[in-house]
Amino acid sequence: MAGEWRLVASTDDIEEEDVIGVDVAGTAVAVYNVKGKFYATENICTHAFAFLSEGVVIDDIIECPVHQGRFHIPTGKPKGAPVSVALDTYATKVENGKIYVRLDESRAPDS
Amino acid sequence: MEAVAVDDLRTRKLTSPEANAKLLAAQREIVSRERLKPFTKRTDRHGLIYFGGHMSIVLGTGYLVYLATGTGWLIPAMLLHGVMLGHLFAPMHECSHGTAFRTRWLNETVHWITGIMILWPPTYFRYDHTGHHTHAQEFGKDPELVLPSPSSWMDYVYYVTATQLWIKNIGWILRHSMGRIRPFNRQFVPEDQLPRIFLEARVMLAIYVGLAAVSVALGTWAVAIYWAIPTVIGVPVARAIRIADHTGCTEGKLDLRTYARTVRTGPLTRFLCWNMPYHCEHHLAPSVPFHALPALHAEVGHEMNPVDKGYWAVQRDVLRHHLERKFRFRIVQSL
Ligand code: FES
Repeated sequence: MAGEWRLVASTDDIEEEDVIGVDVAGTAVAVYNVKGKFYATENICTHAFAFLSEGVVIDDIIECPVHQGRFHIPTGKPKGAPVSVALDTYATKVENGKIYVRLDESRAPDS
Repeated sequence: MEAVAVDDLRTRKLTSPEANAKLLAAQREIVSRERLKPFTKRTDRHGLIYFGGHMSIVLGTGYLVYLATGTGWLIPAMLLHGVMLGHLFAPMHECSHGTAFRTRWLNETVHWITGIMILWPPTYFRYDHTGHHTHAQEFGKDPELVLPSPSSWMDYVYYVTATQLWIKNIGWILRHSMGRIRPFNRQFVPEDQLPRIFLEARVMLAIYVGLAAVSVALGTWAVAIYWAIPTVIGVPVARAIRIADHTGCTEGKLDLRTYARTVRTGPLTRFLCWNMPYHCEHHLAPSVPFHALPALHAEVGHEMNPVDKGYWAVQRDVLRHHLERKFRFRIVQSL
């Protein structure tokens, strides 16, 4: 199940430098458009709970809406206080304007 | 003297998932992400203008201190210089949110420079400040709670003179540099990040000891005259201004509309405070950078606490109506 590609959105659904939240088989996933490239990470901030899809995308960084903790979108790496634990990241692919996510996760080292 | 007990600090994790989920939901109830998005755009330009302007003013007032040396104007010049130095809390705070500059290294550099100048460990503040945003106005949980009810005029003097500030900040630097941290402060910092907090305090302490040693070796009073003494005498003005952010507002419950206060003030104060007089809006959406707060206020300000007072009026209200006329002095745990 985890290894399946799942359709999560159309490329038009996510503006450039933006993020949406989707549910993939019960997992909250954030899908980002970073300069036309699409990435996916877990959607819950590792600091103390917040949906990252409510946050702000700045270049390839997602900033948490609650305490402004930052993560590197492509790798999930935490970028300093108050976050120190990496996000799980998921594989994505785009076919015919549709974004697919595969849930087998990978994770960058924590800071 | 009354010490305030705070429950179960060893096990409490202040910025708990529940509390943060409630906070985000409360923010979204007032303003949706779509409506907020245009206000969250980051720039370097505004931060550079504000920081450049603020530091130019500091250099200018420092020059006035130089001109006034040996005259009767020295103390007034030092006071003016100190007021400008004391307001460097504003860029330090903005950088702690990461919203001062779009470029991260600029943000972090200014965060450090201003933190060192006002004796505020910048990384520790970033952790501590998460507690303030999640638990604003909650007694025993908000690490920056200012004059909670009931407070007395003695508490006011303790706060405004910055006695509380120096005890707290110098205490942090000394304690953390020895590898110790109070349970209340520890709850904000993930266990694996404690070494960073301790290292930060050691670096700060080394800078201050180094400055003192160089001053003694060279027989110069420059550090005292241009920085230390002005800061001590000028910071109370910034403290008095900060009282207006929350004191006398709703306490003990998450009410974003009424637990902070936006204050009417002139452009110079707004500039020196990096727009923090728009405090209701800052708590509503801390992702919004300082330069967009006036625009956010125009969008949602009518839904928040009425903006009907300036700093003098708030000060008068706090002194007349909020404070108890008692000889009572509380040591709030949030030191
Ligand atoms: S909940 Fe995301 S930084 Fe605190």
